[in-house]
Amino acid sequence: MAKNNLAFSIGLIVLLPLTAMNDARACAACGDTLSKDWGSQGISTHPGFSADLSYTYINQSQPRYGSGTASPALLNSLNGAGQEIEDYTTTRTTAAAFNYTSETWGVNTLLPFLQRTHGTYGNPGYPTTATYSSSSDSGIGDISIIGRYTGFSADKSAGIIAGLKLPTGSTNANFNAGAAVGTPLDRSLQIGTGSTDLILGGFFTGTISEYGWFAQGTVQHAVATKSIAGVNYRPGDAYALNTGIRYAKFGAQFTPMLQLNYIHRAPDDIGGTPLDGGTLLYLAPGASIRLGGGTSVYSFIQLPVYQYVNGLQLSPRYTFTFGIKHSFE
Amino acid sequence: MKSSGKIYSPHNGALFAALLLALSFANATWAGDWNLKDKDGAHYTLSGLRGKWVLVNFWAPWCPSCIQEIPEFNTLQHQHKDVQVIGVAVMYDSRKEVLDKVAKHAISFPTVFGNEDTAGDFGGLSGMPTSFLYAPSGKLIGHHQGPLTQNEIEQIIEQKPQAAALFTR
Repeated sequence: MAKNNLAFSIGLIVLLPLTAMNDARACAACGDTLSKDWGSQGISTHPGFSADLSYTYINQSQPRYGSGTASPALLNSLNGAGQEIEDYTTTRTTAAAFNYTSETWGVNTLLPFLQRTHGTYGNPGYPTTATYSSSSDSGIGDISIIGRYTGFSADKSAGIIAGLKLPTGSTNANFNAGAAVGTPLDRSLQIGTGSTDLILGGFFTGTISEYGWFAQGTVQHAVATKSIAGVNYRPGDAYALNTGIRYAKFGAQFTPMLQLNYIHRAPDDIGGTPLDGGTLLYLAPGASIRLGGGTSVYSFIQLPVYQYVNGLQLSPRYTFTFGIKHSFE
Repeated sequence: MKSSGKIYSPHNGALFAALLLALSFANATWAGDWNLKDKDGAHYTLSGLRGKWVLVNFWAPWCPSCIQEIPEFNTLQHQHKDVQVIGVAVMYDSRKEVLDKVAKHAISFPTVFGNEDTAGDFGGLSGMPTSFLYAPSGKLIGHHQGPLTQNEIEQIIEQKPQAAALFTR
């Protein structure tokens, strides 16, 4: 059992919920950056199809400024200076992923369905409800199609990733309650970004004793964007590094895992104005359980260990993901 | 006002979890049984092999001890009609690598292209090779890590006391 690259690998990351808003903003980089698809590459997986259904909950309700928590006094001060104060943004993502793996390449299609609610205090008004507005929206999000190649070495311990995120999510939601009812929701709070993004990256996998590890890096860059009412929106480039370790007994029914997820998101460009962006580091403990017959369930919680956001943004105290995966013969 | 904008029940996550659990149990195999499809598409289940001794042998093309025991299993399968040997290849780089070994060593028993999920159905592996032996009743006799000989398997089948410790639960 001494062969390298026993069982540990990953595929996709970069499910960045783009949940910012003008002025006070929900941190766009604070989303789900987990590597979920560690079974899709490497010698542990035989060729074939697999499907994955996952649910991710992100409640961005913690106002942060720079690297610290924004105090009520700071929020009052910023609101007094003309800044809108966001209250919360909750995003529930149900994602279906379909994966095909050959012996040296694979392709993964991700279809997310987003449910998002949002509340914000207008200006002036914080913390009263006189200028409070809220929205709720749901729909198919931006679909991504990502390929990978692992044919550089016989043990497939390294690979490259390339793919596209398509502008399939809607971009026309309005506030539907409160003072701003009927006015368009900010671009970064829409279900879709309106942009076509190129995703490029690479990964390495290996084993140390009975533990498997992986390291993966990706860059996501918008290559085509969409203007609405003459205002263009370009999501900032995202640079993600994920690494993780898991107990690697071959075929273990209970597999604990631990990931470290880093993401740096450059500021978005909204009509020529740079906004948002930040750098975050998450620690993500999780586990997967094999149920038999090629079916497994998994769950993770992401806990922020470092956060730096540009300006005032909302960030989550944690994100939670669980899902089920089935490999077909 | 915060809640007025929310159209989703806080129980959505619980409902989703229940759905996943239901799907999980729908897909899961019953404890103790398994379903193996060999390289030619034939299916083998523990329940379908009742009445025979069943030896499921996990092996890898790069494992010398695994290759060493193949002739033993070939002979065992050839000489005992009441025994079914099934080889499960895992940790291989390509199917061709497995098929080359099958041809080179004239493996006469069914060969399965296995993976971690396959091993998971047997509780996982700690070393290679690992074999699982089932009585004709379907009861798991135990598993053995390391190479086996035809003689050792025959002693187990003949219920020789000195062979009892070969397979552990």
